[in-house]
Amino acid sequence: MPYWEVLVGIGVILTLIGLALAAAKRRSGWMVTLIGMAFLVSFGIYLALLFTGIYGKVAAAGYYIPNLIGAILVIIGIGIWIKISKGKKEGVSG
Amino acid sequence: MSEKAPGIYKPLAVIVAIIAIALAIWGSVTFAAVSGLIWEKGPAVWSWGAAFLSLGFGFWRVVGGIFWIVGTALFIMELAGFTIRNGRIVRQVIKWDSIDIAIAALVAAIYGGGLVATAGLIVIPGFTWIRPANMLSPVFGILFGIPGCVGLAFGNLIADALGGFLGFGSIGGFIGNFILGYIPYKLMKDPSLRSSRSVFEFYLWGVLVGSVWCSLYIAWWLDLVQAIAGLPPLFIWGWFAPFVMVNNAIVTAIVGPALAYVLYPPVKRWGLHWSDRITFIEKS
Repeated sequence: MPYWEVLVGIGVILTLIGLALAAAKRRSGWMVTLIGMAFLVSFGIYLALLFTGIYGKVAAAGYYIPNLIGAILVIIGIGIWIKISKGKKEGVSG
Repeated sequence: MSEKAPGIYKPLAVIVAIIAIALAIWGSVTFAAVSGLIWEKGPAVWSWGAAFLSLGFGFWRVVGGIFWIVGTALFIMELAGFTIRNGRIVRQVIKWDSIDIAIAALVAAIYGGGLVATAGLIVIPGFTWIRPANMLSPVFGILFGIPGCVGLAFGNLIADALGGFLGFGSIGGFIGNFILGYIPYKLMKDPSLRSSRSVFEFYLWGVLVGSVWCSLYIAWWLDLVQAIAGLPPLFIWGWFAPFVMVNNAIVTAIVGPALAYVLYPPVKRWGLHWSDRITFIEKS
């Protein structure tokens, strides 16, 4: 991945700006933090796959691990959905 | 939400749905017929590629630039806590409490996971693949609003990282996928999918306009950073842009309305719909 510093830089800058806004009680601060974290988490995934030698080898030569992680993510997402909808049904406010 | 719509919406819904589905199927079938030849003979072997290229790079750079500037402005405006409502810019309060964070996380996980599950079906190496999970983007946009759109952007980034597509183009993909959910969220007056007006709006904003906007947004960004991203303009405007439109539209047009129809009532009943979780501050 060329120019990875840019993605990391965007992640760090947005996270810091977001945290500063959140500290100043600006609600949009959490959204900015979330976006900054998104870039950092994605770069973390990239690094993890790079060091395990499977980055960019999706479904090629038997490397189905990223696809499997994707399927697990879908299950986790559905689990979160069920959990918050149950919480809402039981009257727990966010 | 699903008040009785004027009779005009019934034929409009049918016409727009037929146009959207027919265009998406036509694009997919013609692409599949020549996909193996595009690298070798160039994008012009695909009828859509030839049509796009016939308009010239200058045309797409101007049109794409307009979509990019407006899209980026809307993204930054939402980031800053403002939105457009009834034709005016107003302040909005999104709680960003545990529920909103959980909504963004569930959307990111389902969308990102769904995208990467098919990441082996590569169309343009390093840039895009066949993505049936794109059908989720307008649905999550109209159900969850901004937290859903942020989740879509996050999910696309995760899919890029897991699928081996992370790069400079991912920045455009981040906002492009935000827009894919944002357009139907902002422009659909009735998200219930229980009236002909709602169906018409879904096909118009969620399938046609959303797909075109997302495609041109990312394509223009790739063109801007082509020295870094590495895809030549011939392939950006003759292959990437039309393919992303078709890729976004095909499953969304066929499955999206049914999915939104099924998911809207429980989301609304549980108080998770964006209209129950957002406050607009309008000065009189």
